[in-house]
Amino acid sequence: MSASTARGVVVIAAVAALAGIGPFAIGGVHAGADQPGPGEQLLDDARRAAQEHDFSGIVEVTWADAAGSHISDVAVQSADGVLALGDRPQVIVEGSRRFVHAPDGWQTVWGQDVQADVPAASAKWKLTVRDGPEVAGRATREIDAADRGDGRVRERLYVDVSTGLLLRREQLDRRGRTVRAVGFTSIGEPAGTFLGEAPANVPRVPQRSTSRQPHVLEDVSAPYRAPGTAGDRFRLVGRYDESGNTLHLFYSDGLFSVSVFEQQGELDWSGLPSGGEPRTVAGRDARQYRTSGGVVTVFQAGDVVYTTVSDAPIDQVDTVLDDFNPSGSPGIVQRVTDFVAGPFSW
Amino acid sequence: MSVRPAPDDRLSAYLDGELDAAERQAVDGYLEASPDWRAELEEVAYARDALRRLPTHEAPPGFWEEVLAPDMAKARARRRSRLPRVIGIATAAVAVAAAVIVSVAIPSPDRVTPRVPALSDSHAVRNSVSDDPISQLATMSVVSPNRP
Repeated sequence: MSASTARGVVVIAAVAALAGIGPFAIGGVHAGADQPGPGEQLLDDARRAAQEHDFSGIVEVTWADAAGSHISDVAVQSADGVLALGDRPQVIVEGSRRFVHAPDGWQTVWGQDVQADVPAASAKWKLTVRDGPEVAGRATREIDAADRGDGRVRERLYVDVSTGLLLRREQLDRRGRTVRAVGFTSIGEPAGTFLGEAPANVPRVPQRSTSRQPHVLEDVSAPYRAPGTAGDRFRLVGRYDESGNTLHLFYSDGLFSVSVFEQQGELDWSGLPSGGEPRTVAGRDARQYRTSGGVVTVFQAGDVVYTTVSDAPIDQVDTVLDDFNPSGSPGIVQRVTDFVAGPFSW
Repeated sequence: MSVRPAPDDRLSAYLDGELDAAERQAVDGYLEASPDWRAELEEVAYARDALRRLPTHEAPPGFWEEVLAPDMAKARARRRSRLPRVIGIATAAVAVAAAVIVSVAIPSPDRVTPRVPALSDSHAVRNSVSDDPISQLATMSVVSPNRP
């Protein structure tokens, strides 16, 4: 590199830094965090580290529902920027692309970059960083995300000191009990790498796949609703048209997210999966499932069936549900209509 | 060849003088030629005379009202009781018809059965783009009967 070229690079870098391009370029998908704190920075780094380091390991998923506690192990492997999850595997990740293995072959379920409009987690949560316990034999930095209002810790995240990988995350209820956790129980080099050549079972992007990607929507018309914010500072960051006439709204508060799926029609309660718990959401009947991925809630409001899926604590999800049920309990006209037309609906 | 009918109601009218000339001439011909017609004429004449010789009595005052009153009252009661029932049936019929018309004219909303597992996966996929991909997508590989 010549001296003039080096000087040019320095000047461009300085201008970029002054213009704020630098933080945007390295700041992942988060927006609004001009000076990310150490917790924010660790989270951003962890989101990229999974595809930047080669490793293999076992991830344990723990959750509880009305039937009790459940544990399931999932094999994970990453090599050359391709991440694979599951034994076959079932899921492949490369950059922003996501592939899922279905009974009839691979499907591309995501293939687009997302805009940097996810709010900064620190805007809502107080992120505290300290030395954490060993996880899967690795030293960690622990990030505690606490409610800025009452100080309660609702999520603990453990980041590998050496690689920046997120090794474990635990979700706590308002009483401080762990209600869901995902974390490595073992992690090491990819199998076969000690031979000095690429292992035969390194994850690869499927050569053939069927597209099942949702389409980005510019706007939403009635009877569907898409408020720009919902619940406790969840911001709408994506609107998608899923297959089957389903609207998908994606909300995030920077740490947790809530998907709201809207389908026009009348909810067929008898067709819902078993294992759900009856709940009341703003005066309306709802069915709720506590799953390995979080909380799923199904209910009807007006002419729309809502299904929400979220990795957030239940009390956080409830604040979002309230915003999709503005009328509260059904009015007298709705009740009379349901009573009269009920026997004739088919 | 002419055909002679059997004696009929014309004999009673014959005795009462109610036949026209042509019918009377025809009956005269049958009576002259047929003993059956003549025998029948005698029986009809005898029955008429017997009835006319029976004494006549007037019914006592209020007799007919007493005989007919229960039936009249029942008839009126039936009419009265039938009215609300008719109105009720008509109202119900109108209501059913209206409900059927409404249910047909206003399309019944489609029944929706959310595919909960697929929607959960859609959330995990979208979330993995903004968040840590391992912790978000690992749940898609979980094999559990409790996964809806």
